[in-house]
Amino acid sequence: MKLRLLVIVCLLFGMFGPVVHAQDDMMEDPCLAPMEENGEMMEAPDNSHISFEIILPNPRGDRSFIDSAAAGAERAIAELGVEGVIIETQGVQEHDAAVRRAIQDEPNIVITIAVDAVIIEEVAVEFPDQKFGAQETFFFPAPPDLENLALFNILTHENSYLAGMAAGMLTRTGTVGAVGGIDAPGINLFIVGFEEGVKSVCEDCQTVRSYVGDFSDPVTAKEQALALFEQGADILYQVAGRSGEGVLQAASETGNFAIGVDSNQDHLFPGTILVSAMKRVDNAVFSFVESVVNDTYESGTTTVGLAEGFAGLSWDEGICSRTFDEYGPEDLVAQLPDVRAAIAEAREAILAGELEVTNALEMAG
Amino acid sequence: MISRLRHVLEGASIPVAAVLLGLVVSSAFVAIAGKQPLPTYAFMFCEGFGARGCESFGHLLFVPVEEEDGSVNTHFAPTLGTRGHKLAIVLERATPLILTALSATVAFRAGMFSIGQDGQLVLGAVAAVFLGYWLPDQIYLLTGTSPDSAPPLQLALMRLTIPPVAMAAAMLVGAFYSWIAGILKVRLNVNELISTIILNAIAVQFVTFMVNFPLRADFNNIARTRTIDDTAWLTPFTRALLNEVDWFRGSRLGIGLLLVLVAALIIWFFLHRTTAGYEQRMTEGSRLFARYGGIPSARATLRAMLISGALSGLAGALMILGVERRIVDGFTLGGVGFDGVLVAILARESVVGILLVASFFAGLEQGAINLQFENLPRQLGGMIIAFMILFASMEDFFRDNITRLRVRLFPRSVAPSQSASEA
Repeated sequence: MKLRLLVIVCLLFGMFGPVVHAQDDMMEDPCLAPMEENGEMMEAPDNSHISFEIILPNPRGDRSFIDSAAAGAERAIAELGVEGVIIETQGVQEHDAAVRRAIQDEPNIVITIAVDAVIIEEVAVEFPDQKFGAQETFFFPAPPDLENLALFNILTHENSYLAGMAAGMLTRTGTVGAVGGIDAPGINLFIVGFEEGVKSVCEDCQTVRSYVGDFSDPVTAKEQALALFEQGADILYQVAGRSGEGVLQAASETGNFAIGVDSNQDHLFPGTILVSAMKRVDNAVFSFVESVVNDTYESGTTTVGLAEGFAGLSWDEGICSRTFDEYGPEDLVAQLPDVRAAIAEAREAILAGELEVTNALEMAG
Repeated sequence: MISRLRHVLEGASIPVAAVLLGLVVSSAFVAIAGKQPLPTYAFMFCEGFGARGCESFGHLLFVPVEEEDGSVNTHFAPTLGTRGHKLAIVLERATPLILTALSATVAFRAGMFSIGQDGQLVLGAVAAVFLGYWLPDQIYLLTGTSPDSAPPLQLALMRLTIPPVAMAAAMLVGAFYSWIAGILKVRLNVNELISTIILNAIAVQFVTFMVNFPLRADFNNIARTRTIDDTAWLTPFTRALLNEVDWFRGSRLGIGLLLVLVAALIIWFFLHRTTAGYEQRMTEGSRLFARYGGIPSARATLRAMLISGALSGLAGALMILGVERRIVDGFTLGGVGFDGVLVAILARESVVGILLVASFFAGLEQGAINLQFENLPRQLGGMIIAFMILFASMEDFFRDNITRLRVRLFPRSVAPSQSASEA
């Protein structure tokens, strides 16, 4: 009972608690430049004749991947002035019915997030007049070449690499780890990149992994995280959707550290989460809607990543999370400027093509 | 005759009262969600059962349609299939539900409160999906052809044989799995409620394992099996036969529904018109008494469990061959088996009742999920259904009050107590 109360308090605190304050002792941090004043709410254009419907693979509330997609949809409604409907489903058994129901409304575009390729191909063939946008859908039985289907893939090995560098430089025990949702290439894309990043700055560091086997099981994830901490790890990278909250919580309870994923999770457990490796699913959703508003919709596959700004860190410009600077332990905070400098350098190298991070998805091919 | 009609009317008024009461009580929660209850319910029923353009309860029956020339005509809603009708999707959802409800009924009617439908269903589904791609593969291999190059005659033969084979296999698997609970009951007197719950858990874990490892097709983020071959596909009406009929658009309703109706007819005949069915119903009344009267109750029990399992297995096969075409990890959580138990209980184990209740249940569920398209929280729909079921289970309470009401209104109508046995 006490524990539950604690969790609730933590959650509330995470939601309303910390606000990043500008600090004056660090320099050359573009994030600390005073906010420009052009951030006033712009009047949304009236595009109410354009509509979209988005199917989420699970209910909202993972504060990660799915919430990010929903946030993108909400931003599109607010900023583009379009009509939008956000559909949460309870799991794979409902995806198909939800997609078909959405098609009945005949919106300008139906966006699916992590819906199975077989379903998407089936409906895309069955309804040639309906435009589809699919995010996070790998492994089509045969690569589809349909006029009405746009696929969007965000590669996250490179930003995971950068997060791995942070972990490798900040670890005290020399052991860091990753907790994945399932053992699949789409998840290993993160983990392999992360481990490479760790090794690049700390050759003797040990990396450990475990897989929860589920994206909505924080309890098991927490147990696994505790076991990894027991093995000597002090920083864990969670790539497990809602399960990952268990990892973050385990880190917070044991005084260890974690790295968030997909959304900016730094503020969930202030001082515990070093940084979040963000995957801008929200931007992907937004760009789908934008493409129908601007009439630039194109079928086919688009692959983006660090270079295009669809993957990055919560420290980056634009997000500027500085929660850990404020709440983290002093010895680690003191190293942060060095870490950021190293990461900035590596980012340049990756973007210039001098540094190549393994793409686990291609390896699985 | 009149007393019989009254009996039917009374029976029908109970679910209606339950639905109404469920809606009334749920109104509080709809209000909390910040919406008007009546329009919300109208939307829910339209989503479940309405034609295109349905916006109020009245539109469930007659819906106005704006013609191309601007005039507005009123159409009879259930047959208005412009760009697909919701009822087609309802029937698609109801197809496996009817089978699992029949499965529960057959078991209940032998005095076995078996709720093992979920386990039997997923095992049947795995059998069907495996045969659905493995058998055609073998045939193509043997004949040295491929799906593209095979002669039409061979394809036609395959279309005629593979689905029945896959369905039969699924039924066998389901029957065997259900038989385990039966034999445990008959030989060791293991409570069937416990054994079926445990068997369900085992089956679900087993299928999850099969989908994640031996049968896993690729490295997709969510594990899935291979898609069944085209020849194993139990054709939906939209693909063949009735593909011109707009009413079916968007649904994958198909031959499966016809098979289910035949199954319902057979089960009704079996339960009420055969010796075996009689034995089994006697066993339901009292196992000991039936045995005393010379009825082989153990055999009747096992037979009932075999039939029950076969029906659930068939439900799994139809879901795979007709709709899903592959198993995705998470399929096991669909809950069609358990919903079938609910339907069977609500329909009070009558076959005709099952057909109606299953369709209603499927439509309600669809309407509840689709509440989100009106920006209502999805949990609300589940709550409304739960309230309806809760009230429907208060059968005795309603019956007593309806009888009391009738006696007060029509004192002379009190007939000599009619038997409450099935018609």
